[in-house]
Amino acid sequence: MNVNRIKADVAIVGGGLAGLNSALGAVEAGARVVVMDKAKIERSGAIAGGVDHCMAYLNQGEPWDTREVYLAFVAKAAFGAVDLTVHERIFCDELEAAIDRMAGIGCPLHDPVNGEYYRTRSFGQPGPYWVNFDGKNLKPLLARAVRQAGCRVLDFVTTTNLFVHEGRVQGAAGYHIRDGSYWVVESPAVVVATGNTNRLFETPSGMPFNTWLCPYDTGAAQAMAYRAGATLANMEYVRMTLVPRGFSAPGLNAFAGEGATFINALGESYMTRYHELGDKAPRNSLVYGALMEVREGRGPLFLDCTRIPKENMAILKGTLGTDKDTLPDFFRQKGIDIGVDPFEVEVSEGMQTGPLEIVGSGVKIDAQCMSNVEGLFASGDCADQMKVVHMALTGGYAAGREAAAFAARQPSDAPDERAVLAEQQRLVAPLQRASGWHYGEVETVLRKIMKEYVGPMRSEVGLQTAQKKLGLLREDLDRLKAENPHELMRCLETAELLTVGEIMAAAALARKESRFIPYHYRLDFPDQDDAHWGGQILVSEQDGQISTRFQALDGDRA
Amino acid sequence: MATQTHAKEGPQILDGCIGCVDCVDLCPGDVLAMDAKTNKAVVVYLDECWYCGVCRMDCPVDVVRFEFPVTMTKL
Repeated sequence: MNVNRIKADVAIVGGGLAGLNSALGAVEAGARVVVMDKAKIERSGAIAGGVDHCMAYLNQGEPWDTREVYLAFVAKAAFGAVDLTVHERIFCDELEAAIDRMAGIGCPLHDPVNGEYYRTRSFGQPGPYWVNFDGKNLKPLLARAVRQAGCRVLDFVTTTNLFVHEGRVQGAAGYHIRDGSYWVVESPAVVVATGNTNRLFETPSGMPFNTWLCPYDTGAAQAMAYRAGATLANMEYVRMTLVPRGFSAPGLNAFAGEGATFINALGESYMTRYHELGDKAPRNSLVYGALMEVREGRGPLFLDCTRIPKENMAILKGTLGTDKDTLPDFFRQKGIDIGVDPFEVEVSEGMQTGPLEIVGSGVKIDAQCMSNVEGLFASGDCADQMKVVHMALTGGYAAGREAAAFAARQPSDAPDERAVLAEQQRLVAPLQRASGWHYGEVETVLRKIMKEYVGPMRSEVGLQTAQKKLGLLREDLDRLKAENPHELMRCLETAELLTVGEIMAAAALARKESRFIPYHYRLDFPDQDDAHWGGQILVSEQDGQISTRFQALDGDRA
Repeated sequence: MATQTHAKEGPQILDGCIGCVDCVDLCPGDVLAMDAKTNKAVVVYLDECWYCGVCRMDCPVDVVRFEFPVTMTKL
């Protein structure tokens, strides 16, 4: 069978917000860049349909608006997960340039009319660090910049594996999700940027693709990097949010930022029971409060926007569809007017991603965004120190620039021909089987196991049960049947999901305390224990098995 | 499993589709395809729709509507 080969300096795996910033970082440093994405980069990834907020301090004069206060907030809030040296390097050092770059591509963070920043506060921030902006067309604008800069883009080519020899990356393999053609990019540096992992936990609606974040982001980078020998970190945290009942849509930040109040079935504003900041508490506390209120028999729960000042309500209503285009349609079709009645909310499905907006989960990176595998870089939500928009813009760009510098310094050999052909054989297997399971059947079981045993309430026995069941389910990966290249993509995603699920269970088992409750809430170790567990659980493959170890982090520096 | 749907839920491609292929190519989940006979966009993987609205926002002739299923609106 035919192999389409491309030589490059840097391969970017995933053309979402982080990946495209990495592409710009690499190409502006003089590298030949290839971007691989399973969709078309103009509308792929978590912010395909738009985004409306980005975190930043801006040095505009208020005491909280400085690098020092911001870093002190990060150090305290994300203790045990954040590496402050890396954070300062890949976020703070890059922030000013990232804000300028956004304006340069035509998507400024400031109001284009009056030049001012519209800022709101939520999720435990010491001041209004959220910069609200119109990111409806951020992806197409960024995609245009990437194409104009001379990057080669392989739209509809999903990446299936990395080529690694003696701890050095040599490139990546993928195939076209429509015509099935096989592609190999030979490059001494690879930046993985495929986002967090969704579709891994059962959803409240029972619709697996009705997820808070992108259901097509299934942990490809985490699974590929793990197989390639990379160390992962912060993988034990199962993140959830609060969403309108029935629709797992983002938007909580906008509601909380404009002053909405959570109320229980008795009409009580309950969040002060759980956190001194009440409705402005960190997201994990909002979720914890909701779980506890329901457990105590005071559910269902509602979000009350009726007391939001008129001016703020106009802004909220006017921008409701910026983060999720169809949210206004949903409210209309469900008969909800947020200005008139409180609307019911629920705890969303779980997902693999960093525990807070300021720290990630995934491939462990150093201050140059590189993993322990030489030449393998991680960018955006699949990296253990990057998270959402603000770090995709900052760290994402830095990852590409550093990858280009690495490639210029250390060229590598082409991948071994046998490895190239073996990967092609491996990935087409579900197409060649005469019969077998539809991917959805295996995923349904996976999601139930994850929800029941690896969800917010965990214990040693439950997590070990999950490990056994996931191990048995792994046998079914060899029975998946795909009718066409589109379904083959889903089958490969199922395998990625299972790998991420197994890693999460192992990491959760290793951390014998609770942290960012309820994102890692061990019922058998319900307290946070900073003295012993102020650091990361590192996960890597040893002799074909998942291996975990604890590594302390320096959290006092800031 | 790839079947063309005429469901009353999900993205609705109304009369007037000019067959430009934009929604088919821009859908982040590859949920739509072109109908070879009619040369119009159709939803083929409704179960995999994220309800993100990309197909609607980028439609040059504004013929895409969203209908939420009872699973979401009546829950």
